[in-house]
Amino acid sequence: MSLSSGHFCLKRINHYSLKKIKTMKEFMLLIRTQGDHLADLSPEKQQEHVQKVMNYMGGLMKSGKLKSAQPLDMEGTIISGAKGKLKDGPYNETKEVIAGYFLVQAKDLAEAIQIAKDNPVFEDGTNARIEVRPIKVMEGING
Amino acid sequence: MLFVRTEGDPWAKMSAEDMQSHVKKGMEYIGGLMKSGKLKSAQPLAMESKTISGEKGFLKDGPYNETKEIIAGYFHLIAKDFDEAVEIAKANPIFEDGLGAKIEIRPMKTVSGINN
Repeated sequence: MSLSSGHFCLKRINHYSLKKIKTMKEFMLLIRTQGDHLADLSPEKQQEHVQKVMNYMGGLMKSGKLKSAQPLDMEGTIISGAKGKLKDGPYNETKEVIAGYFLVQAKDLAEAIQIAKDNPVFEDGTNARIEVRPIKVMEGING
Repeated sequence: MLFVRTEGDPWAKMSAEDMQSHVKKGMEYIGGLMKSGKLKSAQPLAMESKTISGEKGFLKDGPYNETKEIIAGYFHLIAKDFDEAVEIAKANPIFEDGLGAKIEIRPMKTVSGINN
């Protein structure tokens, strides 16, 4: 199981971080890898990697910058076409997949990029890329 | 997690009226999902973005997209199974306005001990 993109849901935040978060913007960080990037690591390396990821996420949680993060299953599908003629799949025609995501709160794009660069996914030769995308927040949708 | 994939900015090619009618359909779709408790969150993504690549110590901030297909937005759903998530994706009005959009549907993993 890939833990590198983590799985975290921030349930409670204290008043101090709530106030701070109001001036923050949201960014979606998409972890792009060549297939399952941890499959080739030895069990020890995997464990070590997971530990680094946990430390990384713990730090982001403490500073109130992590809204959520989840790894994604390797299986999936892609729907395409037009209404009435929709096609289901295949899921991935290229080798690069999105292995997981981090939804972070940062003051600007530069800070979000810095957070992405600190991700330990860049430390173990996994050839990962992280796409850093500002979210255009539409009021009244997010629960 | 549903990723909405489009060729560039899907709104850029639409007339003001088409855009308004599309947004209205989108809001109805989202409203229905919210009412049934199936939508956790959904947002469009801005086009000004970056891609980080390389190894620690030699990281590069690249242009965010080198191909034409980009991720225009996402839907975080709660569905009883994969088939239901596919059905919800197929009902998205993005497939009604000739935008050439695709939706990628990916089940999330759950890691015990750190999940809520």
